Amino acid sequence: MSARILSPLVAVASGLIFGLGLLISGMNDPAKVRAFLDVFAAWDPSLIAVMGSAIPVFAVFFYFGKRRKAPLCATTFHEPQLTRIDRRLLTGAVMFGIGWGLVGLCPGPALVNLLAFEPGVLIFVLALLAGNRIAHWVVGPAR
Amino acid sequence: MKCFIRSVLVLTSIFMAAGLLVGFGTYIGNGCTSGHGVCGIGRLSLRSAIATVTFMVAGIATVAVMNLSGGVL
Repeated sequence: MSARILSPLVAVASGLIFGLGLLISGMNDPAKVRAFLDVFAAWDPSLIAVMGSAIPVFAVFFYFGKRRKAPLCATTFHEPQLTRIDRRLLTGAVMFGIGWGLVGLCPGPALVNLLAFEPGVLIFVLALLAGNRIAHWVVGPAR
Repeated sequence: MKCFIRSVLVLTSIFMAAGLLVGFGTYIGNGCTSGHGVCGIGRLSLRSAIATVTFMVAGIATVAVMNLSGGVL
């Protein structure tokens, strides 16, 4: 099967697995995220267990994938090119962290929760898209 | 009734502010918990490790401030 047919199918499968992972681990639940970030009070370390399990799984696939000349289901690899640790990266991380801490949502979980049709999530996702476009127009992509 | 409307407005603003911050922050930061936290660290990227620590600290600080504000948030 050509990469052109396989690629979107793999994307769908990948999205399904990712979404299921978030649901099963409870990482789509803002309360669990808040409890993880609440280190000074009732701490719930679940998030670090989830991340700690996901990282080696990804690392294994990444390692074997990198040994190939081309991806299995696409035409080229798309590896991140940026390496500088600059003000842009740190500012972005701080902003993301604050927004994340405020409501316990980040892009993946917010999208997974969309179909719950809660007003908070809908507002969050719309604002997220707006924030993304504003950043694009005001700051532009990284060079 | 006025109290209810006020809390709805406050909640809406918080979700909106959070969304804007996350949308803007992930754009200029080029990643989030999955992008930097899982994939970035999985690739052994120092850039991603630092980004991850940074947003974790920011998140923890934010929640701490929210708690200190007397459970208003």
